[in-house]
Amino acid sequence: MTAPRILLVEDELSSAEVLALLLADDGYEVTVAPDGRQALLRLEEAAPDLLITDFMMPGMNGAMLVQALRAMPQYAALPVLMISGAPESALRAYAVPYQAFLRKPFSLDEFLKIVGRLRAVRGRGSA
Amino acid sequence: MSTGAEKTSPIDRIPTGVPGLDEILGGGLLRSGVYIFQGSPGAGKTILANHIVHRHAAGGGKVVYVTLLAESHARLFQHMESFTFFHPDVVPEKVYYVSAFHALRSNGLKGVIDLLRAEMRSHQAGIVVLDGLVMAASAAESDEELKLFISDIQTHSTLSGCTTLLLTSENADRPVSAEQTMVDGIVLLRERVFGVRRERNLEVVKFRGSKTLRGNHSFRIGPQGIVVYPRLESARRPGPTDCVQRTGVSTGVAGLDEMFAINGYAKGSVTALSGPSGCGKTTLALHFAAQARPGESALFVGFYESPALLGQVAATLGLRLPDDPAVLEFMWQSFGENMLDELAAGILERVGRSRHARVVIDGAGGLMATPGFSDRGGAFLAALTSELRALGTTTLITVEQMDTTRALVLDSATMSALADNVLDLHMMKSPRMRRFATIRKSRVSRCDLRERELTLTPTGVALVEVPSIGD
Repeated sequence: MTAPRILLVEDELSSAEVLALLLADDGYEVTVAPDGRQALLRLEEAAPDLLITDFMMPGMNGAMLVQALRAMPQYAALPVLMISGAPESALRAYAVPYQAFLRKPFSLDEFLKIVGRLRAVRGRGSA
Repeated sequence: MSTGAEKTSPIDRIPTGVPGLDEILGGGLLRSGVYIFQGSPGAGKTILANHIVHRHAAGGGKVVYVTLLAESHARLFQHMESFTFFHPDVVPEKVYYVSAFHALRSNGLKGVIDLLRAEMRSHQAGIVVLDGLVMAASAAESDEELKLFISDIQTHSTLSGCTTLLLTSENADRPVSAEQTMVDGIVLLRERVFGVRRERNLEVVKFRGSKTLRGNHSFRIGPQGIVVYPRLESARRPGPTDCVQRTGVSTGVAGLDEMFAINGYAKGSVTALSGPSGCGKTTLALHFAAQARPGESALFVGFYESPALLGQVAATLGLRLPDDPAVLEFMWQSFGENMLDELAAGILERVGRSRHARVVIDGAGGLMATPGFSDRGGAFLAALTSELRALGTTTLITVEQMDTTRALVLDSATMSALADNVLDLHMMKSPRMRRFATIRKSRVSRCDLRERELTLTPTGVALVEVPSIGD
């Protein structure tokens, strides 16, 4: 059985490193990208079962990244966990289709719980 | 050629929205300008920058806030959310926070410049903040490279019409560096040490294109963010021309009004009530304040007795102080964490707002005990009294005799220069306690210079003639 794959997109390097380590410890295979554009470039290599993306990033933000993925048939239903320091209400104007939202700072337990839940959804969807 | 949305005049300004700061900057930051905000960690740079950008966003502008530091944006938001200027709902649409740490690590200063340029354009930012210039400086291999980095930022700021704030945690007093010579302005944030106390202050050491208020200005970080108090002596205010009038304002003390040819203190004048502790200064000040009425209100600034205690003292004297705070307003400042310019701003704001006709400052010792007074003493008091005269209010300030020896700033020459009238009070303790008053000076009105004795009547204190002190 292959490890579930996660594409983690986060411009804040320290946060990205901590989250990536945590996810790896939990058995996920993680690919990290510092912004939306880099994430698209690494998409093939990452082949994600789940996308975790920050909203505010240089160049291509989280909303633009999700929109770009939704336009690709193989990723149209990819579960997305959006994370941001901004409140969720502030992101509504962007009409981003994501499955879960976490406002930073968040507890790592809650983060892993949501990641596990989204992975399960993906597992059922692809079965 | 401009890539910005609109062509801008070089004298266009962006108000900072930080109380007091625009007055110091001559109206605000220049559009397209590049500014360094410099100060040690904890000096308040990040709060100041966030205050400015959130005020800009509240006015409809857009901002990109770029960090080069390890501190996460989540932590930054946690800190900023305690301030009333911070509105999380404007993030990310109007205030967009991104990290350039990865760009710096991957592509060096060029990576940061590329990121700044792209973010300025894509967000049509009116202000860009680069928080962590010290990181860029350490990444530069030479002064030349750092200068090129700053030069690139200037070029992009000019072309996009975007004002750029560079925050650096270098000590404010370090020697002039390469980047400082190139930017349009430098604002230094420091903490001044007064014994066990520290006072935050800010200095604009360079500002191209406009006059600024030179020197140090104190500021406070509170729930509403940063409030800067322009140093009173340096603030550009209209001079007090012909504001002292030859019209008497009642002293509230029977017998004292008649000692002045105009029946009281000259309207708009400043009177010093001087004397040792217990000689009746606060008593005479309360009589003056008790004359307040609707349309002729008073402000009582006290450092010693609380308003409640002053009310009790007044009642003991047979005086009735107005209950309505719109008629008699108390501004009680206990000794402690006061700042001179904050006190002055508080007094002048109240007088200006409520058009108080009378002001009592009880007393000068409260101002003298405030850090920084020893450096500025006479000049500060002269500026304060000048402002009060300009506002047309009639002021009474009590000065304890010990004040004059404590710091040598209120010696007779200084006090004479500050006050239009000087009323000296003194005591005789033997064979029984008696208190006396003498007018030492009356600048506007002729006066009776003979000594009078204070006596207590059922309706307060009165001054009576003294036939013979030996009686």
